Amino acid sequence: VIDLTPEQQRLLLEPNLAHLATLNKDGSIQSTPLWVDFADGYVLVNTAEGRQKPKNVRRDPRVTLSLVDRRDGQRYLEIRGRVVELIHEGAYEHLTKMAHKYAGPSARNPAPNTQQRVIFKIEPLHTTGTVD
Amino acid sequence: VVTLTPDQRKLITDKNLAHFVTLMKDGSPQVTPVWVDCDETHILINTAAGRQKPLNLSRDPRVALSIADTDDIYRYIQVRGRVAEVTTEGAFEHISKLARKYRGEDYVYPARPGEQRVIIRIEPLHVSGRL
Repeated sequence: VIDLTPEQQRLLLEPNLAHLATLNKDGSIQSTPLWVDFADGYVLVNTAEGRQKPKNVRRDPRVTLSLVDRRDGQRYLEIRGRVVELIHEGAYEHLTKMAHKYAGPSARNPAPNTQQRVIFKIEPLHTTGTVD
Repeated sequence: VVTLTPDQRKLITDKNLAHFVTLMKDGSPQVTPVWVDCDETHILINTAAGRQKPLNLSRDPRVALSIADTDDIYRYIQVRGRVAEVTTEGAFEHISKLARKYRGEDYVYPARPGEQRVIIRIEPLHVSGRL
């Protein structure tokens, strides 16, 4: 387990889109762009139950994220990690917070409030890229 | 193998980065942001010989890509695919073309002594997303 540097944390806290790779049952890859957050040493992403991603990480918790600084394409970060917890509590509210971060303070939560949201709590294990 | 729609091809040929995933020896995913291109049937990535990506592909040709529209975060595609070919033929010309696309018409990709560029030609097997 590693501590992300202040610059790496900043990249996660600014509204840069992340791309999350998870592993399918047959070992092939699923990659999806999504909103990302950082808190208390963990990388957080928010998705909906029933989709492929939660199924994948329950079977194999190894995930990798990639982010590019939206203002400078030369600055990028790859984070390899492990999903250590799937959190339901507060997950819908967390998505509202992400909507404000990425789409502006007046943006609405894009998910129906009947949708079961889930947060992946990701422990960073290794980073590569150009942001130290 | 699936055929890319005109909208999907436009997302790829516009100035959007792809996040390209290959599999490490232990089966874990490696992701890198890369310049991307396509032709009628394949998605094309350009990298340098000796890097982790071509190494991974020689062992396991299964890849994935995701591409988001830089102007509209709600528009994206995700692709699962298989590498059909890795070739050095025309690879320097191809990286020069990509450099102009991403860095501007006046940008000249520098020839680096000892660097062998390769084109990775990817067959899309499954494409989803929102456009």
